[in-house]
Amino acid sequence: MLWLHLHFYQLSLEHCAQAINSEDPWVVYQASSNEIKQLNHSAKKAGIEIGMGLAEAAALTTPLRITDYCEQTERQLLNYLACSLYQCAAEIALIPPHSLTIRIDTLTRYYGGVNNVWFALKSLLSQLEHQYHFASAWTPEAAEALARAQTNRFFTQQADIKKALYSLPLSRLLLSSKQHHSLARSGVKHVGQLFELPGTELGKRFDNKLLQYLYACRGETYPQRLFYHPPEQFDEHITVPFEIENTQHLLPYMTKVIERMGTFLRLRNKATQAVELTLHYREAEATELTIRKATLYFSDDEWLQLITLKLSTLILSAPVISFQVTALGLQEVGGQDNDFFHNRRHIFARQQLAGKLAARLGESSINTPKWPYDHRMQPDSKTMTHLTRYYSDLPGVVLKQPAPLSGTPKIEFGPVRVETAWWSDEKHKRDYYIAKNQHGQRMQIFREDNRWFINGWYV
Amino acid sequence: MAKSLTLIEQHPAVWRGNQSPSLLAKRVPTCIADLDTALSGGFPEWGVIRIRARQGTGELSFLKHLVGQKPADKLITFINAPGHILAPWLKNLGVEPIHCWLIDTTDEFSKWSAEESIRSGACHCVFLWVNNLSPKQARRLQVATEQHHCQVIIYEALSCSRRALPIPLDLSLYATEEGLKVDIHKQQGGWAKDDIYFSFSYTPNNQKLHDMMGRYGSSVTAASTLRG
Repeated sequence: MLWLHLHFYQLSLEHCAQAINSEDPWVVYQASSNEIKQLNHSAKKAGIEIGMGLAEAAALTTPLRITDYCEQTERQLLNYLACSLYQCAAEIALIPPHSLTIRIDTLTRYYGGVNNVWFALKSLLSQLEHQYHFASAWTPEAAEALARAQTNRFFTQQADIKKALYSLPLSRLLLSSKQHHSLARSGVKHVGQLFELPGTELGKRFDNKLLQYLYACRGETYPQRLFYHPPEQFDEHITVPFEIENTQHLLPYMTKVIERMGTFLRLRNKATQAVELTLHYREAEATELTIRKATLYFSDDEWLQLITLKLSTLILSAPVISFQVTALGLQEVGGQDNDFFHNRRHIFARQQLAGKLAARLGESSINTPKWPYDHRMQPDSKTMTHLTRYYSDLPGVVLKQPAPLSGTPKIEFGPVRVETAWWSDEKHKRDYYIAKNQHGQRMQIFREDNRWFINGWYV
Repeated sequence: MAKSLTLIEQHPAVWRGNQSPSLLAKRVPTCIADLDTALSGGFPEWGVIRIRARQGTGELSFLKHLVGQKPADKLITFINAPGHILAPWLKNLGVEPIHCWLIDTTDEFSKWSAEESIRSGACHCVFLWVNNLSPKQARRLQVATEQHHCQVIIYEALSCSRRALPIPLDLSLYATEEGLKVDIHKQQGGWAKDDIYFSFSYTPNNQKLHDMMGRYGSSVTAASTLRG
């Protein structure tokens, strides 16, 4: 088994930074425990560390941007992240509020190798623009311990995992401070040392829970996880990190959501004709906007254009604190709809067909319909230019060589005398008629030098 | 007995005459009222259609409405037509000549060309002049048309004997004094029907001239019948 643990260590911060591109020190602060949970690069440079109190952080640098930490928002963001990752991996287990673990070994069949799975996940994660620590190991617990140590390596060999895991300091394991303390007192400092202690001895001193955890880290138990199931309907509720008074600032958040909606719909081969957008205010009644399209569509950019248009005309009555996007009435995109590339495909298909036919039948076998060059009722192979004349008396099909007429057909139309090319050797003087024979067949006949010929058929 | 019948019904080449047309391909009206009624709405949108007719009886012109409705960006191929198809005539039919190809080849290769045209996905309509198509070949073309949503119209001479083919529509066309007569030999989702008459005129004639002459009592009688 191989599990990958991803720890997104600044989800809230990244969520805030979507709208405002700021180089100022920025921290995410949890008031209940008075600690800094997440910080950006400038804050780190100023000397702020995770776990510091607000007063300490504020003393280090000014100005300091502070966003309140909200676990609920973080959980929501993690859920949306899992939904996006679901296009690459099926077995995703959430570890709220900011981690998730993915089973890798079951995917190797589809990707043709463990490393390919990782590349696929990595490229998707880079598109999502999140920062994360990661590690892979034989069980979720072991992977988590390695990721907490910021190993940031994708292990595929058991020996590598063992080496990395055994050299971890004990603090990376999820132990209570009491357990940690008592182990340290007995001289156990590294994970390797702990793993080498016999289970029965540990069982005497510690509770069952710790033993189970240790066995799981060693990969001796089968991990039980509840895997993530994506929702059936697209409905996202986004809490913006600050009150938005201008619809312009709403757009970056909206873009992300609509992009996710596009992926959501595309993966399910669904499309929607209407998107409902609800803007929530602190006190005033929420505004509900429904944006509709005439045709089923699941591409995100057209929806985004429509929403941008709608928002540009909207004047917000109060600052927006959160918004909700719901795709209404999802419908299956059936085979009866035209596919998106059908125009382009025809061009290539036509070229391919021409190549195939010419290769087997010879180029001279494939022609396009020709126009008569002059009043002579013959197609001309030399030129595509044509006279604009009254064509309704021309037959549909002209024989390659006029055939001598047999029988006595009845003349229905004519004569049409064509006398031309007197300047050349091919003098042309013919009387054309439309005639019908006893079987009802209509043909174009002509008389030349008192002999009758069939020129073509009115098919 | 019941069991053996069920087995027969499962055979892909067998369909019941009363099979609901809604399950079948969409119908495209020919805009000839009596014919559309008999065909429960028109020609199937895709599939193989055989038209047995003498050449020059308007066997292509009567499909004017059908052909003109097709998407303009796809090809129409004419395989082994009895001569060179003229561009102005196609234009009158409502078809852009640049989207038409004329393929002139042997009998053997004509079927291959038809299949390739269907499978390329570049064609929406293939006209094939061929006699004595075998059921197996017809089946092959039919399967390809279903996959690629293409229409194939096979013209067969009335002089060759009619063989039953596994195709959704089989017609014979005869010229009459007023227009045309159609016999539907077989159709999927409907019943065979003979003697569907309708008036149809597609070529200019001297009728006006004759009327004028008749009205003014001219002694000149047009030599309208050829001798020799």
